[in-house]
Amino acid sequence: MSCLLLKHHLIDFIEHKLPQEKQLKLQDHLANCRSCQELCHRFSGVYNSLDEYPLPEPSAYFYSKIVTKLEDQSANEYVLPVKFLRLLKPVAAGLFLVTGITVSLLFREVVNSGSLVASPNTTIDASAWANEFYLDNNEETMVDLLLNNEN
Amino acid sequence: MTDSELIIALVNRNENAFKYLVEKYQGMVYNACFHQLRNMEDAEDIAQEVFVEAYLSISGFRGESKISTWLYRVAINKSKNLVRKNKWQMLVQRLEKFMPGDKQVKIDLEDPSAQDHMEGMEKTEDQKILWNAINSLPENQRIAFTLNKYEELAYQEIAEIMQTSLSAVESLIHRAKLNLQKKLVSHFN
Ligand SMILES: [Zn+2]
Repeated sequence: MSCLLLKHHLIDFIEHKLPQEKQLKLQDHLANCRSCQELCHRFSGVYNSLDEYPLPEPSAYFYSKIVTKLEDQSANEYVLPVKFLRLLKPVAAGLFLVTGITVSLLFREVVNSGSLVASPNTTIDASAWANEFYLDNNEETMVDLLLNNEN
Repeated sequence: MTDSELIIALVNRNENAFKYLVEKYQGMVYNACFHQLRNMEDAEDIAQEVFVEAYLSISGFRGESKISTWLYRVAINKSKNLVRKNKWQMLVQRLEKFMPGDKQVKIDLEDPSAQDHMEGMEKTEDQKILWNAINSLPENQRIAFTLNKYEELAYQEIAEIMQTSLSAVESLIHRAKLNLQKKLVSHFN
């Protein structure tokens, strides 16, 4: 029975983490049981084997490698906006389209509501319009002459 | 320099403060990674990644725990991710052995002898047996156990690192020890 108990509590027994009463009971058993002595010896050898191992140390370039990684990281940050811009392309196209439609709708509404028609206080120089779109007197005469000659 | 002074200096991107942080904690972080990964090269790479993340996310550090606890947490999470990634790669490699023309068809992910976890280190037979037994533990049991045994951390700090309760840590370590006992005793028989 005590052999089984020791097997169940081997690690706690080796680490002296059992309640005192149990620890003492198993110590007494161990003093008289050859197979448990062997098991305990072998087990603690393996279990504590890593404690005796000198831990490796980080290399001499540990800090400089971190700095390099940080520099790489910040260099990658400049790549990110480009990636984002690519993603935003369809969004920008959509926005452009919506803006265009909205502006044209607004313009039509403004024209329909007559806000572009001159108010009584505004005078539009009709002859200026005519000058833009129609021939002046001399030009008209010249054209008339030409037309008449053709006839 | 106290933790809070160090954090303020780090938030202000003080280069000397960052160098101080690395020098003070590099051994601790490297060992924690090494005990999870059992590979010197991977441990160094992940430990460096821990400090890169610390530098980049220091402004998000709320100071609710010690800097060491926070660094341990980052180290454990990064190591955990690498272990998972390696296991996945190993699975793929083993599955490739099923490809026609290859006579090796044995798949045994739990076969510890197939893996050399202490690459780059001289090791005794006892150390190999123990490494492999620890490696075969379920992930959380392995993490809690190694933090307790090799980093010598108290259960409360392990709970903070693993972001779990004290009783959960007690239970994880208890089960880890039972599993290790079972594996090692059966190895001797
Ligand atoms: Zn016995």
